[in-house]
Amino acid sequence: MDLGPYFLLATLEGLLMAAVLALTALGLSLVFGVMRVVNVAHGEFYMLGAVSAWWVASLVAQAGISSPAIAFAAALLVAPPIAGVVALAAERLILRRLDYRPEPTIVATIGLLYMIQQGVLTLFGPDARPVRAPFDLRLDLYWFGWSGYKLAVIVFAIVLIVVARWVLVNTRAGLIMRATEIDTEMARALGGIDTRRVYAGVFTLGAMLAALAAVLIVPIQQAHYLMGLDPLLLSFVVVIVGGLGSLRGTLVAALLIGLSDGIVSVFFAPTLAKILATLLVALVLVFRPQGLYGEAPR
Amino acid sequence: MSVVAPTGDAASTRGSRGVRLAVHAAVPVAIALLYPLLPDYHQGNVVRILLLAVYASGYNLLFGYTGLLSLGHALYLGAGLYGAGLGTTALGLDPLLAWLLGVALAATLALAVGALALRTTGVAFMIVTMMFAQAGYLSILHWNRFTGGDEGFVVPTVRRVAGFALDLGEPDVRLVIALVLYSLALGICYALVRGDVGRVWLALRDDEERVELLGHDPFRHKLLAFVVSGVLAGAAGGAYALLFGYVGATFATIQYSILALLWVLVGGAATVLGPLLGTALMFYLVDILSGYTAAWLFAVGAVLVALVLVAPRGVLGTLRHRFRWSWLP
Amino acid sequence: MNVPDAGEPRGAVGAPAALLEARGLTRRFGGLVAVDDVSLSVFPGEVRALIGSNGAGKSTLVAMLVGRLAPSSGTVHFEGRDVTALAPARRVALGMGYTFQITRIFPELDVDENVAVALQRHVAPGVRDAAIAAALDRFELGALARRRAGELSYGHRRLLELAMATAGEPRLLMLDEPTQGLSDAEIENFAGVVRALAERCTILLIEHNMAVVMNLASRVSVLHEGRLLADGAPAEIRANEAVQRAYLGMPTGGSAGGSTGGSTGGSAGGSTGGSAGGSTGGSTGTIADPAASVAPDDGRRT
Repeated sequence: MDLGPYFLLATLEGLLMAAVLALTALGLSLVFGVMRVVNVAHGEFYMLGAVSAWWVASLVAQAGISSPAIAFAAALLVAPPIAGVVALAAERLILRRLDYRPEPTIVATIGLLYMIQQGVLTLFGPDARPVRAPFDLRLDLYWFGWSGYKLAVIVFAIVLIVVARWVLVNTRAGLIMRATEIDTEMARALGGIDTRRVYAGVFTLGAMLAALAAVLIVPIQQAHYLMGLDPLLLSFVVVIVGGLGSLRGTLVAALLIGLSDGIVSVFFAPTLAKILATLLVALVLVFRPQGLYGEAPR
Repeated sequence: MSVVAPTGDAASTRGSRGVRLAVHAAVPVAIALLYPLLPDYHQGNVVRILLLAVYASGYNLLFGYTGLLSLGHALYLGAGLYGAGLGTTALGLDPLLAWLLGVALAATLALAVGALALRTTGVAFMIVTMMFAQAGYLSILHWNRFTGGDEGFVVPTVRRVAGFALDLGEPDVRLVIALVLYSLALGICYALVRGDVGRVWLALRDDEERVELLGHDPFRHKLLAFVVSGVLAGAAGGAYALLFGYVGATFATIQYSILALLWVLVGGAATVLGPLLGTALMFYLVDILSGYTAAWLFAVGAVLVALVLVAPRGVLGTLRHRFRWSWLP
Repeated sequence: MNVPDAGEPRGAVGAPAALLEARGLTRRFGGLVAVDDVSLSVFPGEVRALIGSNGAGKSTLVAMLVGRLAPSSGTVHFEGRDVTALAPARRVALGMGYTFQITRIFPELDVDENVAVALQRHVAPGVRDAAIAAALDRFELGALARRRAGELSYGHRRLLELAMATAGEPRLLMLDEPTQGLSDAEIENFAGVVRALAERCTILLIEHNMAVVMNLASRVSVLHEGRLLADGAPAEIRANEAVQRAYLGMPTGGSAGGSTGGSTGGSAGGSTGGSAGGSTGGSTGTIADPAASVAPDDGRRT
């Protein structure tokens, strides 16, 4: 039996997963890097993105427009901001009042997780909702075929990440974020940076990145109110293994985890893979807290 | 979360010590007296609350007193549950032995995880504990041939314990067992908290290095808190399996780790009676809400946020602080 | 220039055994050598002062002595026993006491509970209350016993920390810049406290304040740029030219009498800068978050 196509399939599926994971984890990494906040509700913003995408798409369909491409485009434009608004509200009303102190913030984001998750359950019900992919192209080589949409997602994610990197390095906004990440006090004192606005912006951006990733994946996976938990765990794995505060680390780890999970899932039980991934995170944190590329603990 | 915990009178007068003991001893007695007056449904709830309060009391030692926020204590609850459940069903052990097996399993896991996790602090500690618990939960799902996976399995009603005829299906028998277990847990927590160990725990919460430079080994003290909390969780889980005849994976999910945190926070972290109060209050809140909506977890979330913003000391903690009730440990 | 004293041979006939002996202690942080081959001995009954400008390596050295920091090389012996590999808790259990540069106590506990934490390893429960009361009275803190320690003034906190550090009757008490943050009156009071303490235990005093040092110390060791520069009686040190050049700035010719202002460069009040490297701003330069790195000034300044 020729295993070639299977490996290729596994690799591509892994790349797809890595791409989506990289975007999601990027959001988490930004928030932790700049604000030193662990947002346990991060997965719920992802879920919000997916669910909002379905909602927007169904509104478009109800308006009589039958093109899935338009519905998807609308979802892509509207869903992330919806998640962003919820995130901003949470940041304003809750996190800021707590002064971003680590323990209370974590407890608050846990509470937020349940509130968002169960809020969505109440509004949208427990069923999985589909969203149609914007186009139905298929890549057909005579010995192997794959969804054109999935390929497009990978390309799109790569472009986004390149843009994100460019923004971080070359723009004033990116500079402000990096300065605040390195030393909040200094940024405030020396740079006159309004760190509160930076925090609000970063938290919102992090949520929107996760939501965006979810919109990209929802034509493949369907939207469901519990879909935020797996991405949350995986994002943690990526951010910690890659090293907190390191963009390169996040990307490398996302690639590693995405590919291995993809490959492992094709040949082995997914639950076992998850078990190994969670243990990996725990052991990395205990023995090498800086992960692959993070700063060594002082 | 710096919850203020006044430590009471060091130079305690005899009267004060008596008051403290009396108040705490009165609680199980009051429950025993109140129980016969309750309708059946609530009698069952009292038993559940007592067992879950044992779990929460253990968690309180680690979180409330020592200041370590573990997000993975459902692992030990589950260990007790599955240890006892599998002990009776798969291994055919006497229920008492099966329960002890559950406790031992929980203790072993707590020792292993604690030894590793306590090498980290703060956020890393939370994540490490959460990850180990998640690995445990996923293992239950994965090896479902033995564990029953998501559905769990039934434990046939226990009618003989250690050679004595004891029908654990009888509601009154259940109450006695739950009450005895809770009283034991209460006694252990009280003794630890009021003793030298508890004082070091509270000091560790304030300043670990200062403790170290007074000659106390911080790691050992933290590990003790971790293991005792694991043991109590295991005891609660094991009893739950044997008294209610069902073992399921839900008890090992992150949700149950978070519930422990919630119950302790509501009742008052770093108060000995807080966990019981918090468990009871939230149990009933959820019970009532789930009659109206499937989304009762929303209330859990909302309460957590509200607590953290407005009342981080919880009920008893706020009362103790407001009225300077230094007699309430 | 005085040659650093490597310490009396241990157990040599007729020679007093050193209570604390550091041999060849060195500590590197990456490329920076914060402490360079320092050997010194503290003898029972001494009040030994360790002085040096900011960045001289005092805090790093003391951190190694008490075990908060592991040396890159060298050993520490306490009462003849090699404690280099022992954790701080063990060293304290063996008879060391330590107070932090920035006072650390347990703010959420009551004052008497603070002392109880220190005492409980040494005193049985039955007699503990009396022991706590005695310990507090020694520092005139008795009236504050039931107050939350976090409510105390800084001066009272310092005294509380001393009460805690001495509660276990340590044989060697290390005080890390204890007069920092105290008013002149409090410093006077403090000197009296230390003198009383010196009757019960040996004291190693890390200090900036030259007046306090001259007042209290029976012997002074001078650290400069990580190396032991000089070691001897206070008067000798004051007169030592190398020390004056390196540490005290412009020689003021023996005027380092009682006033803190007289000793330029070294005191908390300010310095003429001189050749004392980074000592501008005096003692405030060493303030660091106690929860952060152990050697606040050594890693970052030269």
